[in-house]
Amino acid sequence: MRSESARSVGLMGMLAHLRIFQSLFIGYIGAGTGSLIIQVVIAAFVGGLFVLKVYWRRITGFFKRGKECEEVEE
Amino acid sequence: MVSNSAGIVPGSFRDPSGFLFRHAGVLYRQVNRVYRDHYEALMGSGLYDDLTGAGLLIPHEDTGLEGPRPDVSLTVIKPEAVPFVSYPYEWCFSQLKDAALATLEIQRRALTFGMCLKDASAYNMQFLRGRPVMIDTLSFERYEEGRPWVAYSQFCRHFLAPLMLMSYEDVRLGQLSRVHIDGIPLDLVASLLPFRTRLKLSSLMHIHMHARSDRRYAHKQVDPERLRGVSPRSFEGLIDNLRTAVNRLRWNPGGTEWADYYGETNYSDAAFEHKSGVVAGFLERLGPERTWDIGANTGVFSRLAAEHGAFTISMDVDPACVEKNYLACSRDGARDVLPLLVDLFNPSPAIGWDLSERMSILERGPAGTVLALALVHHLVISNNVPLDKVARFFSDICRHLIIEFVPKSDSQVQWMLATREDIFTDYDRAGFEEAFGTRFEFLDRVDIKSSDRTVYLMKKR
Repeated sequence: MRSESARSVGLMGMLAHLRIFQSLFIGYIGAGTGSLIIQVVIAAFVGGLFVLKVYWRRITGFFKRGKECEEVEE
Repeated sequence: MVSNSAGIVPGSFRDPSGFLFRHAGVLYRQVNRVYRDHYEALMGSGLYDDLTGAGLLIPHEDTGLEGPRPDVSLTVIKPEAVPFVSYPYEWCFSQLKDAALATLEIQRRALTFGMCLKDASAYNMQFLRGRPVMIDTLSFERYEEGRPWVAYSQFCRHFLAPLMLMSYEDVRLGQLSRVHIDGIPLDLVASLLPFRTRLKLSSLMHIHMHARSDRRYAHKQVDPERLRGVSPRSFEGLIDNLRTAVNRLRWNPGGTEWADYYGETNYSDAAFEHKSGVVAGFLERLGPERTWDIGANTGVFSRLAAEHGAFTISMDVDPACVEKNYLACSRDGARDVLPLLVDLFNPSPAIGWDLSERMSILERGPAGTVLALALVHHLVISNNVPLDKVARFFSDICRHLIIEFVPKSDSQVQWMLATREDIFTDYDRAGFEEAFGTRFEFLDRVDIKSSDRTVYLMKKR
């Protein structure tokens, strides 16, 4: 029961991150079902990493700027 | 109407958004009405200006002409001419890597303007002024939030797969792109890559897991509504991850037989200097617009030709030479030299549908002027091509020829003959002049100091 709840929470988290397709994948080149499925999984994973990367850069950028200001004041 | 269907470029038929055609020797692109919405978005959103300003997309003029298919035509544009069309299997490692990074940068910028690439074919990239540029103006479409990147699989097959094979296994595996015109199948790539690539996140995800998913769902119907989309942030993350993966790939053009040629050959400094002066003098006399330097090695004489105003295709069979050549051209800003990997004994053939999608290397001529320096002994002695066939080949592809004859007394030729029978009874100066004299007029001939070699300037009869 508990594990089911955990899975449900996990699934809700995934659904919050992933969006339901609103249109079919109409393109003049065949994207490939398997490729689209794995892309959704990979994009969700690397998208999360990307968010962490962006925020990490902002944090380190903030401290670097602060350090630069201190050096200028000195 | 400027042309009929006879002017349509044979390889331009896959995308219903438009096609290329030639009229009076000029290349145009008809944009079809079906593509109106996306074309207006490209031009109106600022993306076109951004990409052309950055040198990532070929600029074009709106001509106001009517195309060969006026019934479906929206407009006809005239893209800036690319001096020489080359293909991914003719590029060295760094050329393919730069083209891949340029494609990803285009996709990254497109997203910020609410658009994305609907294809990521390596054939959409060409080298203009030494840098990769996208030539297909119709590769963009409006971005629909939640939709995955439809070109992801194509990008992996056309760029990531050959780059990983070249980097992790063997640089010669890049030639698989010549066999597989729509990119190397990922299951083949997965089977060729070494085991350690399963331990690297980028190759694990984009190649091994990708190939497995392709195989698993190859014959299964999946309701698209059941699939989950890709958020804009995840899309950005995917492009950023691919960029990092490509950026980390390396290939070191170590010392191959030919890459160290100038450093290790018995050519003395004086002989080399004299030969350079002779070739420069011949180029000065000809003032060629276009030169093919065949057997260019690392491109020393290609750059000399470019300095004399010639756009120069610098061909060599050795991937390390082409790599060194390209890196040197990039470093020195030699924008009029295009290094290419070409094996003269098996040159790029015509490939694709009806053998007309991609042209053979010879169809992309004529060369104008050909430089064939320190080459003829390889053709005749290493590969048993008779001298008259060599002369006929050159007379078919050029008007002027600057060619070096290397006699049997030269240590390079002696080394070649050391382990084989000398069956080349007519391979001497007289035999060379007789074979070439039937097809070419000799304009000049200079013996190179401190060597037994001779450089000729010839004009096709």
